[in-house]
Amino acid sequence: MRQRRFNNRSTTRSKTVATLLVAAAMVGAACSSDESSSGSGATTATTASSTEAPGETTGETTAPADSSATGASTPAPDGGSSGEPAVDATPIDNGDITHWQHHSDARAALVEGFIGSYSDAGGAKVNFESIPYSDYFVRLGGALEAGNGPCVFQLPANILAEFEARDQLAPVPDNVMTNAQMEATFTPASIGLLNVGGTYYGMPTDVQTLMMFYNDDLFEAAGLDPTKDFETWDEFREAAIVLTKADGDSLSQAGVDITSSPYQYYYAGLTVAGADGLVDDATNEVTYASDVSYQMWERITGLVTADKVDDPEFLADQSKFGSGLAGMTMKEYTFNGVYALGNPDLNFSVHMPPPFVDGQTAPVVSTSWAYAVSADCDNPVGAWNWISYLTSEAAQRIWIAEGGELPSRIALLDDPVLAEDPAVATGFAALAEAVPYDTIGWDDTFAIQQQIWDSIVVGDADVKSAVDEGAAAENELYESKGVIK
Amino acid sequence: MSAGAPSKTRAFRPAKLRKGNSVKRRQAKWAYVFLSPAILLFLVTVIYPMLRSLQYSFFKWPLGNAKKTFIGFDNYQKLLFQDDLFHTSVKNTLYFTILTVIPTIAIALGLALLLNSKQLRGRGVFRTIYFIPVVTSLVAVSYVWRWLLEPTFGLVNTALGWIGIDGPGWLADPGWAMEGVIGMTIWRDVGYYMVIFLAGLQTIPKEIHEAASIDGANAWQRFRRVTFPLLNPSIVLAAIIGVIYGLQLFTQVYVMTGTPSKLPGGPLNSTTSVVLFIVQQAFRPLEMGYSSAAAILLFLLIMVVTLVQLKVVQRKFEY
Repeated sequence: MRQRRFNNRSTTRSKTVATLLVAAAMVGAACSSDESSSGSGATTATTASSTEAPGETTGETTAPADSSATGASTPAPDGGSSGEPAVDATPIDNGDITHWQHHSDARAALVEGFIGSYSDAGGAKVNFESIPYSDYFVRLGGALEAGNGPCVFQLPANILAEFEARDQLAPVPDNVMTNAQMEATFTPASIGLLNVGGTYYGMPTDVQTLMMFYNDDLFEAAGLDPTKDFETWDEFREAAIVLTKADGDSLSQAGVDITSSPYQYYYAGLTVAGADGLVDDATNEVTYASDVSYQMWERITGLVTADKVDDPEFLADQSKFGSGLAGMTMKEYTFNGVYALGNPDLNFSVHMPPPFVDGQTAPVVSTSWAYAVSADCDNPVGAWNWISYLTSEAAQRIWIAEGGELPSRIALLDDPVLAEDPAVATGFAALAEAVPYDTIGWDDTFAIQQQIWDSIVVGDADVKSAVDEGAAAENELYESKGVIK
Repeated sequence: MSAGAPSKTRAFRPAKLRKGNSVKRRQAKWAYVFLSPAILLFLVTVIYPMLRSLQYSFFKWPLGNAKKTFIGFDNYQKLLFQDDLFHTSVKNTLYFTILTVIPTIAIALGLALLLNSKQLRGRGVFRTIYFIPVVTSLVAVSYVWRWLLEPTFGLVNTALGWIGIDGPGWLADPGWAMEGVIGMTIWRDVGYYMVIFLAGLQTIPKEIHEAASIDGANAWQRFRRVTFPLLNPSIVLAAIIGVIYGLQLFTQVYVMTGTPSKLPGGPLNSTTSVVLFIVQQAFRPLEMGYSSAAAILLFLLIMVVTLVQLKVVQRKFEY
């Protein structure tokens, strides 16, 4: 009897211990889950320090900004060409400004340089934080919601209107630039998405065109001319086939590096396939469930599924072009600098992309971001002064020279000094004809479009049904965002 | 009973007993005082966000000053009956959990039995080696494994090639991507569970083993009839921790399958987990309601699975 009682107590105790352990485990798991979320953010900061957003680039291997070292003059905030800064340090502009942007080594270094020169010129103190892209929107969204967000932050032009709809943005004040001045100063492609209901809510930055890059050595080895742009899709495709090399069943050289980063192709193709970009301006509905879009998807996915000029399993997710193992690739213009510094032995040239569809509406597509000011910023004058400084003509010269960017200011497009570099000249020429990638979203729409690519290339889905499904999903997303007119 | 009865009882209680109760009450009071920071922290950082999340889940809740609309159970209905991606993420998460927890526990138990043997030289060294992955950053090892699993030049496929096996595409192939994540997770977690089992093995009185040996039990019988049942609390703990961690799969997928040009969870959502789904639904469109509903469903899933596990795995035993 005694023994039995002991056993029961022992069992009960062991159950209690087990239950306590389970409870502790659940609490521990919850805590560690929190840690892993935040930790992943923190740790991703390490691993993703070179992460760039789709449609946005880092120019991460370009040299850091050092105005004194490069001899670049301090930019003026008023759009003046160069020379001594004319910082508008009005009495209200006397508080610190918090500035957040997602991280890229080159851009962070450039902004640090601008902060120094701005402060030296009597501007406000800028507290700068460069956040890994993977965490950027999580932190920005949370901070703005909590009311402790930054005064100045960077947004893709495509989602500026969403932030405005949440009342989170301050408009560009007239004393900084009127609408007419904005339109006379900046290229239409760079500010088209910054105008919400007749008011501008940001000033453009990180303007890029999606360009073709050729490996000139591989072109010559294959008997191709690396100085010519492709005039038809078939010319491009045939060159890609010639440039492809296989070792048995496996590729040893890709004709086109497309599978590691296909978004540049479909961003460009979707935009130029539609008469009005990929979104109908009148209704804000996507227009890419169409014959011309099917043709574009058929062509770009066919490079992998039919022509086999690239393979998702060949150097998976790595830059084949940057490693000298692909004949061509399509990237943002800034990769001109990235490849030059990342692989000095890579002999490459920058070109206009091939036509994605018959009778396409424009030769090239651009993406851009914007500097915006929080509606809760307690020093809006200082914030806009700082943005004016960052987007001034003199600053843009530094962004172009050291950040591998293209200008958003019209005045710089014809600058003979900048156009001396043939690659820069090609970039400028493309920019003059560029139309913006106009999806109304960013990572959310990217996910849908990437799903179309994956469904066709990896999932063997029929092109039409994959594209129709994607277009329906994107329209449903717009509906849920309330942007359909 | 009159109202005065209790005080009457108190009046007859011996003074020593009354004093003892008073001490106990004072001790309990102090216990609560000392516990209060942790309880407060738990309320603020866990309970409050959970309640807010529950509230959000019944709303369309965009961040900022955009209108918050009460939509009842619409988010839940959409998640449960319409959202194929959510269903895929649940399937992926359950698949991952089953295929990591069972093999990890089996391997860890085997290792613990080996490393508990007094005949084995250098036990400490082996224990350290197996435990090293546990103390290494999950992000770092995930990143390394991404390279190890690279199909063309990765070490795993190269090694498979040495023995005549044409390795799969791993993270580039929707049919193998989750298996790659599972392999890495088993490799990393084995050491952790091994330590739990080692601790459990060392609590089993050796007299019981000796008695079993004297009774003629061979090694397998001793393991089957003595060690395994008495290790039940450790197995329950390991299984429950493993399942909870498994259902919260996030970091490995985030690091191993996301690239600067591709969102994590691919290819073709083959590695999208529930937590990744929640994060992506919340921070792509900055809309909290839908993802909060998914978080509540995940919480319920974890709770139900854990309770079922307790019922199924926990066994009564006696020394």
